[in-house]
Amino acid sequence: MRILALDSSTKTGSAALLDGESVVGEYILNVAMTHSERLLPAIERIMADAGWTGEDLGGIAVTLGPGSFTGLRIGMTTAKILAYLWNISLAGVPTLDALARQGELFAGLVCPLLDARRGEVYGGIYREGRTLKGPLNVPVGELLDCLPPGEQVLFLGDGAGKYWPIIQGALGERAVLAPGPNRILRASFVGLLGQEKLIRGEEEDPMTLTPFYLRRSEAEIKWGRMCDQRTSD
Amino acid sequence: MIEGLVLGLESSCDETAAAVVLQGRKVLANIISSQVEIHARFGGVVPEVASRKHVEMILPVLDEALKCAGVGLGDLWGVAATQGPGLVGGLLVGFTAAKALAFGLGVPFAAVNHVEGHIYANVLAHPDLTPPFVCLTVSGGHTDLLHVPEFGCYQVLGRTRDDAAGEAFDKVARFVGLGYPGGPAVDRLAQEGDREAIAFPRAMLGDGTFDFSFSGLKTSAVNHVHNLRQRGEEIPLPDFAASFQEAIVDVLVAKTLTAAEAVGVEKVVLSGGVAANSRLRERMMAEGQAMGFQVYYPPLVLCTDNGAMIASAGYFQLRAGRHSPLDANVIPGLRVG
Ligand SMILES: [Zn+2]
Repeated sequence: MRILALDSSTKTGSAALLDGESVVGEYILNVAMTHSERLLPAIERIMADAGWTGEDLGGIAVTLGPGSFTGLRIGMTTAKILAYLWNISLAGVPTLDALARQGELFAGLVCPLLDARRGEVYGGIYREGRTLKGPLNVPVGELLDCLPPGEQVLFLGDGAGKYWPIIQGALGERAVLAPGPNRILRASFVGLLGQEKLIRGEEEDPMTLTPFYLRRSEAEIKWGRMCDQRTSD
Repeated sequence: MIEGLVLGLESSCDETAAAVVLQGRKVLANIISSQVEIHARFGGVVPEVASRKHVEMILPVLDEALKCAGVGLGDLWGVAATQGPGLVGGLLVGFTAAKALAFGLGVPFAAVNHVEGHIYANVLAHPDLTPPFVCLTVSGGHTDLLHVPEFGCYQVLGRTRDDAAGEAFDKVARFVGLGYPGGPAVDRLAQEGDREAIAFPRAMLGDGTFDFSFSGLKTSAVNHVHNLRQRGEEIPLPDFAASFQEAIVDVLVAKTLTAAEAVGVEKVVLSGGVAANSRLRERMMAEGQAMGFQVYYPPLVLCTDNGAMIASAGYFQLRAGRHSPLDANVIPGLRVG
């Protein structure tokens, strides 16, 4: 199956074309420019370079979240519209699953971490591609406390670089930082997981699909507290 | 493809809207999904909550508009979306969707100014309306008095220096417990009240400018309620609403008509959410006509934020050759003129 894969869940933005397992093209741009300005031009560019049109595609894969709220909305809205327009299958890929896949050859635990701001991360713990824990939205220390003892742990994602001193302080020699190219999320891995999902028949409905934010909005958190207070009064 | 068939998307505040309009004048479908009930519990629009709802609603609303218009995606000649002003998270959803559509269909894209869009609600409603005219655009987000010598050309005569008129309605209504949104509630209550019961200030009236200010009026209304509450007196809501509304309408009507006279146009146009206010429509029409102006305002369904006005404005933009690129971004603080 031919797939267009998109990711704009973090500062890195990426688009890729896959034909089965083979990566036909991948575009990654890790700069401080909004996804609104660069996602669609990236898609336009990569499709033109590969000589593909919508008619060549069997599906679209996009990151579901967690990640930047705005980034997720831009990626998902684009994917939904294109899937609807070209009448092709849509696959939603959890951001942390795709990142974990980038470390699947590591013999040990894999811990993808996204910077969630406010001293927190979105993270999970994986072994051989299977989720042991997560996704969680917690301070990085709390996630490290969940790691089973003994094994080495590979860290990926923009949270890995940001919190590296804390991670190393807590785990010492057990902690391994993925090299730069593996640390950022690549749309080709989103495409790989998306393709597997589509083959398993796990298609999303573009009409109703919404991002997996993991974190509620500030207003809802405050509102929730007000309700809790009222019921505990 | 049908020549001049434009899809317009609007998501700048708390309505997710899509419409299909033919050649800027004929509305084939106009679908609006309002989030008012979702935001009512928060007492106003919460940006992140609104953005999340927009992502959920954009495709169903768009699909409904096409079905209702009886056209297919392949019939579209262009796509338009609101670029600003508005809430950034919401704007991005409609804007991103429109760019993806334009790219996928290989048709041109128009990034439309929301305030300009409101003016085109009148173009849709009144096929004979052509510039030059003076236009007052009033809503929860803007209070702009514009001179439009020709389509696509906007000279700002005045605008609010603080709160928008609709914002003043919402804030004061919320303060006296009328809920959100406040405008319609005040309008309804005011119909049974005495407009001269409470002497609220008419800010900047007769100051020689065409600018507005409503924060002083808001403070005065809040103080009035405070005083009554302190004395343990009940708030005479209908009188309060009627007097407050009259203070806003007085200034809006007087400044608009003075401006129209000063600029020397024959037509006066009212647009935006507050253009739905019955007292504003009634007085602008009566006093405008008494002064010899032709007065225009849109039907109620086109006063609220909608995709049809964006499609109409977008059509005229595209026809003038103003295509927007795929790397265009939203501009939350976008202004006209
Ligand atoms: Zn508006």
